[in-house]
Amino acid sequence: MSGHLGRAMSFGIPDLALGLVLNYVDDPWDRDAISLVCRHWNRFDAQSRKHVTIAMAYSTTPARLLRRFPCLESLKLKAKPRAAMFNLIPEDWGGSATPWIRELSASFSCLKVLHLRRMIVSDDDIAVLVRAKAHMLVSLKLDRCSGFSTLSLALIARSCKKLDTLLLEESTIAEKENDEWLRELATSNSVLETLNFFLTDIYASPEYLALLVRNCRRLKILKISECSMPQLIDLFRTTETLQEFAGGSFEDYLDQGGQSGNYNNYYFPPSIQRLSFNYMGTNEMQILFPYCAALKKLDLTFTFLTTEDHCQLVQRCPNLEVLEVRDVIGDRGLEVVAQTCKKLQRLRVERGDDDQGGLEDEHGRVTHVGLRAVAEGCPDLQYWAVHVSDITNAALEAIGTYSKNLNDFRLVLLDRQPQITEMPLDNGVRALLSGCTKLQRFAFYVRPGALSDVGLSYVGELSKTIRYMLLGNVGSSDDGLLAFARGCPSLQKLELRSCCFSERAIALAALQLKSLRYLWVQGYLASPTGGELMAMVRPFWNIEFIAAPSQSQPGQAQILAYYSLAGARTDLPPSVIPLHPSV
Amino acid sequence: MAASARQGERATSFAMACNLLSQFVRKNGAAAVDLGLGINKVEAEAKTTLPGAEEAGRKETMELFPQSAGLGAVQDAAAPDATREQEKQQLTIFYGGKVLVFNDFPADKAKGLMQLASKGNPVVQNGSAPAAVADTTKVQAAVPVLESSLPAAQADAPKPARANTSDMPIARKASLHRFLEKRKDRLHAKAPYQASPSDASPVKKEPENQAWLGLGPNAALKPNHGL
Repeated sequence: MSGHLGRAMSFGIPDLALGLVLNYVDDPWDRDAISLVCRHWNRFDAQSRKHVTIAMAYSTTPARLLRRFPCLESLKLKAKPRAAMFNLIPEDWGGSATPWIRELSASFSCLKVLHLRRMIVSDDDIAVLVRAKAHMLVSLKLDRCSGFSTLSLALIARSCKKLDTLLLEESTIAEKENDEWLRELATSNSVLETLNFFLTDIYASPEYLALLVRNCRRLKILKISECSMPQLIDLFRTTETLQEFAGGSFEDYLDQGGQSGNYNNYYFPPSIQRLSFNYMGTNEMQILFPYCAALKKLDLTFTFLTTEDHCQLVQRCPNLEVLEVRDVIGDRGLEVVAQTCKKLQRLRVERGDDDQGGLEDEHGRVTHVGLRAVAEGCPDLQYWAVHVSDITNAALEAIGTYSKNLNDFRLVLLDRQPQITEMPLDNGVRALLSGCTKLQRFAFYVRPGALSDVGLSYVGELSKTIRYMLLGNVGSSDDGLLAFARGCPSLQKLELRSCCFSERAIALAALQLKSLRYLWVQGYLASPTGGELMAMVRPFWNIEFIAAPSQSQPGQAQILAYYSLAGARTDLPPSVIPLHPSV
Repeated sequence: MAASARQGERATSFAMACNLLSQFVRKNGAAAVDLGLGINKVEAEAKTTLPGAEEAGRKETMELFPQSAGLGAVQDAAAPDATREQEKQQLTIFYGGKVLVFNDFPADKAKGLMQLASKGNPVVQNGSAPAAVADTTKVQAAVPVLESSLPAAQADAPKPARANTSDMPIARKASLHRFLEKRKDRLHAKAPYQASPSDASPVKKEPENQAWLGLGPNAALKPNHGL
C-alpha cells in the first residue's frame, strides 16, 4: 500500500517507516487524528484504512466513501434507527442498500467484508454484489435486514467459495425452495467458520445441517432457526471445532412422551463454549450440566426456565463471561450469579412477560437487591443491561462503587409496581456516573419522578466520556433538558423517549450538545406545525419528522435529526417529512 | 463539527500527539512538513535525546510526547504549545434551592472557589459557601446565565408537575415479543382449557438415571410451575 507513495518524507519520517507504524493503528479515533495532521498523512490514512463503520448510511454517499477510502477492505453500514428493533419505525421508512451495493460492486476492488445492519437488501442487490465480489467475499452479514429470499442465500452459497462468515441474524427472509440454500452451502463451501441464521424463520432440516457440519471442518459458530433438538443429537458428535451453538427447539415433554426423555444422548464437543437453546425447560436443562464448568457464554433468553432453574444452572457455571436471561432469573438468581460468575463481563437481563397470571415464575423479578449483589460480586462487568421492577439510590451507588469496568450500562425501570421504593434517583445516578469513569454508553429509561431536572443536570455534568445515551421519562421540565445539554461533551448519539420536553427545548439542546451528530425523539410536547423545531436548523443538519400513525396518537410522532453531507434524502416515503433541508 | 467532537472525547496519547502535529502544520505551513522536525543534522550533533531537543528552541522543535499525556483533560495536554490563554468553562452552582450558571468562568478562579468551599465546614449553615458566592459575583462581575429554583417537591413522594406527553408503554424488543407470543401459543395449543399452569402434570422423577450426573436425590425437579 505505501509503496506507491514513493520515497517521500514528512516530518523527517520516510513514508516506508510511516506505513509500517500506521499498520498497527486500527483504532478509528487514532486514525481520525492521523488523517487531520496534514494532507500527506490524510492521503496515507485514506489508502491504508482497512475498515470503516458508517453509523448512519444517510449521512454520506457511496461516492464520497469511494473518494475518501478507495482501498477499503471492510465496511459496516447501518440505516434504520435503533427503534426499528422495537417495531417503532414504519415499514417503508427507508434504508435501502441498493445505491451502496451498486458502488461497492463497481469499485472498491479490495472489499472482502460487508456488514449491513437494519437495511433493506433485495435479491437483485445480492445478485449484483455476488456477480462482482464472489471471488473475494470472505464475510457477509445481513443483520436485521429484510427484502431478500433464500434464493439469494443459494446464490451466495454457490458462488462465494471463500466465505468464512455468513450472518443473517434476525433478518426477515422470504422462503423459496425450502432449505435448498443450506444444501448448496454444505456442498459448495468447506471453509465456513460462522453460519448464523438465529432468530430467523427460515427452515433448516437436520439432514442438511448435519451435512454442513460434516463438510465444513472449520465450523466454529452455528446459530440456527428452530429445528427439533432431538434430531440434532448426531450433528454434535461429528464436529470437533464447534465453539458456539444457538437455536434449535425443544418440544414439549408432554407431546413427545418417552422420546425426548433421553437426555443422556445429548453430547457436545469439548470445544463448546457458548450455548443457547430455544424453549428449553426444566427437564431439558440437565443436558447442560456436564458442560457448565467450561461454558463462557449462556443465553437463556428464549428458554422456559423458572427462577429456581436459573439458580441451579448458573451455580454450575463459574467461568461464565456472558450471561443473557429474562428477568425471571429474579434477585435470587442474580445473587447466585454474583457468588458464582466472578469472571462475568457481559450481563443482559431482558424484560419477561408482564402477565401476572402465572406465566412467569412468581420470584421472577429483578430489583435493587439483585443489582447490588451483581455490582459487588462481578467486578469485571463491562456491559450490563437490566430491566428492573424496583430500584433504590443505594443500588446505583453500589454500581458506581464496584462496577469500575463498565463501559455500557442500560437500565429500564418497568411499569410493574405502582410504587417504587425510592424516588427520585438523582443521587444514585450521580454516584453511578461519578464512579463508572469508563462509561461510553448509557441508557436510563424510568418513569416520571424518577429523575428530576437536577438529576438530569447531574447526568449532563458527569457524562464526560459518554457517546451514546437513551433517556426515557426523565426530567420534569425544559430546564432539565437544557441543563443536561450544557454538559455531555462527548455525546454523539441521543435517543429521548416519552419525555415532557417542548420542541423548542429539544431544538436548543441539540444545538448545545457539542458532539451531537444523531438525535432521535419520540414522545415530547409537539407543536401543531413542528415549527419550533426549526430553531435547530443549521448547515448539514438533516431534520426529519415521522408522523404519528394516526391522529388519535399524536404522542407517537418522532423526530430524527442527523448530520449529513448527502443533503436531503431522495427516497423519503409519505410518512417521513423533511423539515430541513426541505425537498 | 469534527473539531468539537475531538474536544470532548478522552483522547489517546497518540491522538493528542497527532493533534499537536496538526497544530504545528497549521502554524508553520505545509512546508514545515517537508523540512523535517527538529531532527536535522545540525541539531543531531549537539543533542542526542528527544527531551534534549527541547533546548533547541521551541520554534523549530516540539514535544511530541508530552509528559502529561494520559487521561487528563485534552486541553491540559495541548497547553504547552498552544496559547497561554485562560481556560474558560461553564460554572454551575447549586445552593439553597437555587441554580446559578456562569458561562466562561476562568479556571483559576473556579479552583479558588472550590478551595474556599472545601475549607469551610459543610455542616455550618453560614460557613464559607455563601461567601464564595459573594466572592464570585464580585470577581466575575458576570451575570448568571440561568437562575432557576429547584422543584420544592424533591423530598416528598413526587407528583411531577410536568405536562406528560402521552402514556407511552415501554416498547418491547421484537425478538422478545415474538418469543413470548410463541410461548403463549404453545401453552394454548397444549392445554387450551387449562385454568392455570400449575394444573400441568408433574415431571416423572428418574433418580436412577440422574445418579451418574452427580445430582443426588435432592435434584430440583419440582413440578414445572414455570410452564
